[in-house]
Amino acid sequence: MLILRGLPCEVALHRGLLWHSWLKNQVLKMDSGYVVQMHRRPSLKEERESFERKIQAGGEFESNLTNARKLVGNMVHGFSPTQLIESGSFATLSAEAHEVIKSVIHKEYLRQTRIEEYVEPASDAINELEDAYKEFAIAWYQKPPVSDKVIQQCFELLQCRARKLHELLGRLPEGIVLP
Amino acid sequence: MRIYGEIDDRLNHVVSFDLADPEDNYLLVVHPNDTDEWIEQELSERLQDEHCRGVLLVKGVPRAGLADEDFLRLKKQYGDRFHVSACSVGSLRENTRLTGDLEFRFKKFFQYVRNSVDKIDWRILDPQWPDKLFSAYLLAKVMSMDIHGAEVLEQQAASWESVWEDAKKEHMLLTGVTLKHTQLNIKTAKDIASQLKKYLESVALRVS
Repeated sequence: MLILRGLPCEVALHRGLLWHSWLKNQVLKMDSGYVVQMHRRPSLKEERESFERKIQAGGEFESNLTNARKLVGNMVHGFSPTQLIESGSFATLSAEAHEVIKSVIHKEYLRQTRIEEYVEPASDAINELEDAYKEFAIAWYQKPPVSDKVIQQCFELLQCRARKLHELLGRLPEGIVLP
Repeated sequence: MRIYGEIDDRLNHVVSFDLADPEDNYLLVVHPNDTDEWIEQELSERLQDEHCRGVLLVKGVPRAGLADEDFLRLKKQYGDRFHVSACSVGSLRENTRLTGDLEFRFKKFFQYVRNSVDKIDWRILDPQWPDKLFSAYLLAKVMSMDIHGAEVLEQQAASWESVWEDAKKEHMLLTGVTLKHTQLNIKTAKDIASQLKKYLESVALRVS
């Protein structure tokens, strides 16, 4: 199968943002020891504030979870080459011929990519990541503050769950697939 | 931006070349007799002029006869200011002369360049993915894989005949060779899908 890199593909764009900008750069690359320092040391106030803007309720982390769910909901059709069949070249084709091409090509795309098999694991991974995020956020804002060890453990669990989702998103195509 | 030409009359009906003005940015369109020699002796010097915002080579063979790896190397070396037309553009007497979709694309490209100030978007001239070949590939793929689909498409051949004719032409202009079969039907579909796939794979390599 061919990946049509360079052709507009909304789900590929979202996959890239979630996989690279969010999970890799904002979660997996972060050192858990540094997270503990941010939580504890007043001298890191600015870094802490910036971090909290991401993890607060309604913040970037939550909106990325929502975007990840949208991606999983749209990905089977989003990477499908059937969208190419809507283009101008086939304008003269009858509705029946259109449907035949779409149906055969989509089936073959599903067979080759097995993309439907990723939907459930990816949804589960998002749910698990959300649980870990909530647990971490509770620990982070708890008064009186929890111990360094609790913060570190919660963040490492968050990273572990993020790694799982990162691996799953990494297996998705990087553009529309041509079977 | 101005457009200067060092080329015969093959583009005359899609652009009027300008007289030189040392103050204005410009695109230079060249038909090199010997592509390798021109690139070696002229390209670097032409691009030293900061008003020269792009050099476009056009010839009667795809990519002016440059191999894919040479084209990619030159793109890397000279960046976005250098381009070679992916399609053959023959002289007015040749069957690769500008017509149809490609003619329209050249016209649109030169209009766009005229309204540009600095950067040139070559994708207007050469879309990364060839639209007609895609469509023909999808038709051939369906006909080669699914009996019911093949029958429906064969019955309605008149409605996609122009897609197939355009694809044959696009393939010729992009690769310099004709497709193995002149007709697309149940018997030839597998061969055609395979030939088109091979070309699309080479495009995928360039794009990545």
